Amino acid sequence: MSLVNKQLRYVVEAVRDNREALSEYIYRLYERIERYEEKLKGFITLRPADTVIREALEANRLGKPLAGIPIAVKDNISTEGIRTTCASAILENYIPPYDATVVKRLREAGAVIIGKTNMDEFAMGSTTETSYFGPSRNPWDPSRVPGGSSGGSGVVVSAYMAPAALGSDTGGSVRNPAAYTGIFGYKPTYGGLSRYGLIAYASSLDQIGLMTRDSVDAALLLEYIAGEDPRDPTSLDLRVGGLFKEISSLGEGRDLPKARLVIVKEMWSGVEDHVFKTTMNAVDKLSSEGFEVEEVSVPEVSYALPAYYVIAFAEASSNLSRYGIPLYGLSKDPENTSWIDYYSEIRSKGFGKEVKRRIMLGSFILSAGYYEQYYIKALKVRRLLRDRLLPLLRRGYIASPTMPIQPPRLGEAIEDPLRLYAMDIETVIPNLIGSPAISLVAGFANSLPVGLQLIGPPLGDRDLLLIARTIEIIIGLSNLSPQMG
Amino acid sequence: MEVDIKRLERLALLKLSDEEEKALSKDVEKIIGFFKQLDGIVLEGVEPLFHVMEKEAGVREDSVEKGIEKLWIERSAAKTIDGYVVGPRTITGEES
Amino acid sequence: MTPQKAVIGLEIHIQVNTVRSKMFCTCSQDYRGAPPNTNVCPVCLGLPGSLPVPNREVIRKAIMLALALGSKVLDKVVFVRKHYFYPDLPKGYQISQHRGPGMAPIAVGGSLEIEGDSGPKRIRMRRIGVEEDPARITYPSGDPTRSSYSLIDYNRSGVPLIEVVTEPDLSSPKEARVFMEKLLELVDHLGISNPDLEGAFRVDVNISIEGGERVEVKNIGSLKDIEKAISYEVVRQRAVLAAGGKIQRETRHWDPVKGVTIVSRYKELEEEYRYFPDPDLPPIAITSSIVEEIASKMPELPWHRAERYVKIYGLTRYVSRVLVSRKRLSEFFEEVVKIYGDPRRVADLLINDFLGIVNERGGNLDMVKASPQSIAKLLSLMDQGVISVKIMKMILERVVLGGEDPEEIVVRENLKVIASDEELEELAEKVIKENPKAVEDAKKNPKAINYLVGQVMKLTRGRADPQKIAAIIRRKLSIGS
Repeated sequence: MSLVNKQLRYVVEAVRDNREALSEYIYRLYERIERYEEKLKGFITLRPADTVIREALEANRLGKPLAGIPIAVKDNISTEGIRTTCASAILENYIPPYDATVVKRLREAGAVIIGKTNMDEFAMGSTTETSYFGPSRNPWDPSRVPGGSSGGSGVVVSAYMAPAALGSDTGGSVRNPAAYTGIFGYKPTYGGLSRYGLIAYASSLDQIGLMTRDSVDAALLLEYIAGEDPRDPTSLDLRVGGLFKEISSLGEGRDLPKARLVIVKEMWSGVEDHVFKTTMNAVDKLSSEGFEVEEVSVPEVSYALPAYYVIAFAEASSNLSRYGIPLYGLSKDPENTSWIDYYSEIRSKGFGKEVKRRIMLGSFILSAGYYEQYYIKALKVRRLLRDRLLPLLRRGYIASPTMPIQPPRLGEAIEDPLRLYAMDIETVIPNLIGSPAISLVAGFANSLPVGLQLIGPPLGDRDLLLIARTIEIIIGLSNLSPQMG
Repeated sequence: MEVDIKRLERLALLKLSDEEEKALSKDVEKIIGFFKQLDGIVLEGVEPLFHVMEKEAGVREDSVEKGIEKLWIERSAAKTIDGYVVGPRTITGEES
Repeated sequence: MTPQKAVIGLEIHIQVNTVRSKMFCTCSQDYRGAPPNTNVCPVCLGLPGSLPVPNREVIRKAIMLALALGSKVLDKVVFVRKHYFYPDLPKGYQISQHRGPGMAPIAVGGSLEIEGDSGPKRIRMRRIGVEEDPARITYPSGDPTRSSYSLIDYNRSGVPLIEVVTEPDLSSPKEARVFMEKLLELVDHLGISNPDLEGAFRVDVNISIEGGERVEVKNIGSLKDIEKAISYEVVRQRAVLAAGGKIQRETRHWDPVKGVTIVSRYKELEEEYRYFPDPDLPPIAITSSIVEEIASKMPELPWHRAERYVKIYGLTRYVSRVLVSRKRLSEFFEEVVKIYGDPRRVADLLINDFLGIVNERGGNLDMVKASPQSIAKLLSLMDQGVISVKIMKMILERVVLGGEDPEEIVVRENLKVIASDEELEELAEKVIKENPKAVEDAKKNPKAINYLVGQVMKLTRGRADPQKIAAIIRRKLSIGS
């Protein structure tokens, strides 16, 4: 079997002292890309194979721990010298002068960036259809969306075009495409990975996350990129040293750790039938393997979605105020134009419809008279939710379907904003309360993977990943291969 | 109607076509209706949560590091003159 | 009818130009003189993905100012985003501080006592906060209205500012100026800002006349302009009211060239700042032990220093106040006194001659190159009769601005007082011989002797005591004094 279908950790081991195998491996990835990229559109910017191989061999020669392994990076994470567009026309020619902290750490550990992945414009969407560069498609069924906003990262990992990818997760943008493309998605505790260099959508919710073939690969990469960052005042220490070793040894003879699963009833209502059944089956299986299951009701959960969108739009309108300045590789000549005309023309032409919608609503929410009515109220709901859910998370992990519905066909969800937003009903909750969360494959429905979401307590990332690994072993559905033409 | 779309355009510095304006007004109304669901929850005595981790911010010692190269500015700006980034006029048509 | 009372409040932005780095990044705070756009990084350019990290030192300095003004330091520092679009603002918002739900400045309350128009007066503070300076914009033709584009230099972007907002307790342009002078003295003594650097402070003024709405005049950059802009605005508003008109609540800009205030466009945009707590910057706790520690390191306040001069050195209040107008001046004064003694004599020289030279050139003490030793030496040279007052005045500029050693100048240029009477007698003889007409005049009118004295002084190149020469001439011409 070719290395291409293996998890990242095995590839790293195989190529560590074998540079030939490394370049062979990268060639194979590019073969896959050549074959499937045109249809699936996982990348916005793909770096030339020879550049990637050269960098990889150099990292390998220097004996760096990740040995030159290629990683895909979502296109809202800043990469020095590599175009970073946020899938927006307004940043089409923006080449950052600096690396995001996570990218810097990956590079220092010997990873190489293979390309920048497709996404919803400024991460505003749940299907990767709002990308200025066109939508990505789901490798399991190309007539369907791969989820979003980190859809491109989901596509390239699931279709073996890269062994792992960085995504970002503001209200589910890592877990949603992970669920839809049948891979492992991990959103750390808020602040657990430095946000320095992550182009902001909603700063108090944004978090960089990992998209891998399973939880062990995620733990491996996490050890290299975690750790407080002096450039991000909100960053925290996740204390994950030694996690990879610990997680790798799970299932080797010793008893698997068990935990309690908390079923919040409100998170299971309104879920599509097939999805409900598939995820509940998984929960039942875990229960029969010794997991405790507890059902509770938290009525406040019903307010999570509007609260999330109020906060996200308000912060987005602020974060996106910077676009229009003549510094992002724009070619429009400022001469003889008044600043109001110049800025509004760049912004009106450069932002897509969904982005404009969110900026305008965000401006409305923050404007005098509405600030307390919407923004402050949403933040109160946020506290209430946290106060209700944290005690539950001290007892166990909240389990739910990752997505309430199966992946829509292209064009199906995008036309109605409220329908689009409703897709995030499960995934926004951890972002609102700062919790870590993962999505892994619970089973299949209609030949499509269905994701199980597990939420842990803030800073409980280490244990969450260990439990995720346990569940992977019990359910036995990781490192899946979509059947592709 | 609650929302003055023209005012929002000015606040967000966006100029929409008539068509866009019409479509967006409809969406905006609908979404604000969705936000109004928040009126249904009792929030008395609840303080807003601004920073979810309630971690104290890191501060920085007062030290200087090198910034970015001039070359980057020259490449990224629409236009530069003697190192200055050329910007639009700072006054509007009516004032000049 | 007496003119209606003016009600004036100030919003002062002072650059913290005494620290090393900017407010939220590690670029140098000292942007002056750097080629355009060479003192920038992703943070102060507001590049996508960059994050601000607060400079601890600036927060400490703001707390120190708050303590000096008797303000209440709040228990946490919260930064907010203030939104407006303008080409000088790279992020579309400025990180600042404000009051409101979830928002709090560094400190609230406090006051500063000034010499008001009718006696001592307390000007109350509303709040003290910190924020970041925008970029600097210039124009190819120097005039925004006649330039087809602007030139943006981001070097200044992110320079730390302390914002001080007063209650509307000032009643006249003069009071506003007196207040500003005192506040600038204070920040100078506290080591927060050198107010004499170009662009070191900017002021927004709120002015209303009884019966009218409040008008804000923005962006005034000098003490003179503060006084002028307020005077202009008070006169304008009174005239409008007198003509039966109404004063509207509006924002105006001060045009220092034309000397008028102009109404700003896009009021709505300017007033809709959409403040909210910056999610990138969690609050910073200020414990009482931090506050105590800062208080314990507080330098002597200028008004305490002035009092000490009156009590210990026996100087007049006026002289003491002038000496503390800048920290550097008062320190210099104390150094000279330490070496030379006689505080009154030192003060006299500094205030009259020394400051005369500095003020002639704009008043910035940074131009002073003289050491306290050289000034002490200069005074001693006079005491010892080595140089005359006239020679002292002649060489002072070179000592003050050029940093030259007075003794060396005196030796090199042979400026010593002509001490021997013989030499003076000879010169007097010569002048008397060569000016028979003046001699006649002097005999008729004793005052006319000054001409002859002047001629002798000329021959000595100022190196003699004119009184002594006058005595010699009088004796030679046998006239009484």
